[in-house]
Amino acid sequence: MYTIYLILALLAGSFIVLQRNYNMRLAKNVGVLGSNLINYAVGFFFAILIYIITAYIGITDVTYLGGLHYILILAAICGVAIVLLSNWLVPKASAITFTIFTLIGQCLSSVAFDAFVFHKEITMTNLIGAAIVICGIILYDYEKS
Amino acid sequence: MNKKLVYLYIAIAGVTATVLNLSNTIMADSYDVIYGNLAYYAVTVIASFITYFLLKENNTLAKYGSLKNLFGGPLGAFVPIFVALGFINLGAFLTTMLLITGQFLTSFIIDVKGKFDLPKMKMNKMKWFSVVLIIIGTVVMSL
Repeated sequence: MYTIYLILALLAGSFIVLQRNYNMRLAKNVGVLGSNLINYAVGFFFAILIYIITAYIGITDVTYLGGLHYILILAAICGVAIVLLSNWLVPKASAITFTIFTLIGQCLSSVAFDAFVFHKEITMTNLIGAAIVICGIILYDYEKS
Repeated sequence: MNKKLVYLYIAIAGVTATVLNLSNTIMADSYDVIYGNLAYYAVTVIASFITYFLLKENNTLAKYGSLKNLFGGPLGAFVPIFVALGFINLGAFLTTMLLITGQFLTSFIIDVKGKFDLPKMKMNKMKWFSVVLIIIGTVVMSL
């Protein structure tokens, strides 16, 4: 199962980029906010489909229907904030600067969440691998710029 | 704007992405991964709707172009599910790093193949070395 979760996380990263590129195309026609709204509306439709199919198969527990967690408000604010922040910040910094500081933000916050929320230990191989990945990305972006 | 402030805001954007993933994970953990995804989309579509009508540039939603432009929606519908499963089973750090690697490798393929009407990028030894480095790093990280 461990390998499947690794593949799903990689696949999620891949989907994020494909989604961003389709949304970029869409934004040319309907604007950034319009693209954001259409993206989430179509996504919502597919989230309903996924829910119905998994509920029919018996994977999803339908007894939760209607239950909401206060954390969803935070998720919604973050979802919209990322789109607005990116559109505002991308023209203000070079590609490499944007990549490096986004990576710093993501790495530090994920380490903090592992330590304080999930109480999960980060191994030395995790850190060494992450350092190699970050070096590779910076090197690639440095070349590009 | 002060450069240091721009850097800080960019880092905050990175933190926001991880907080979003964490929120989805807490929702998935409290209820169910698939239901958490549905609830996330329900709330976010409302937030996007409000933002659109508060800040809208032009009311041009009907001019979305070809159906292909809407493919981002279905792909995105799987992301919170995969991320929540990763956060719960692999932890925040490893999942975040794998997300970054997945994003990089897909961007690389788009660049090389010239997909999405983007110009094909010429590769050189340094770029290939970077890609090999990232793949090695991912394998080491996942051990």
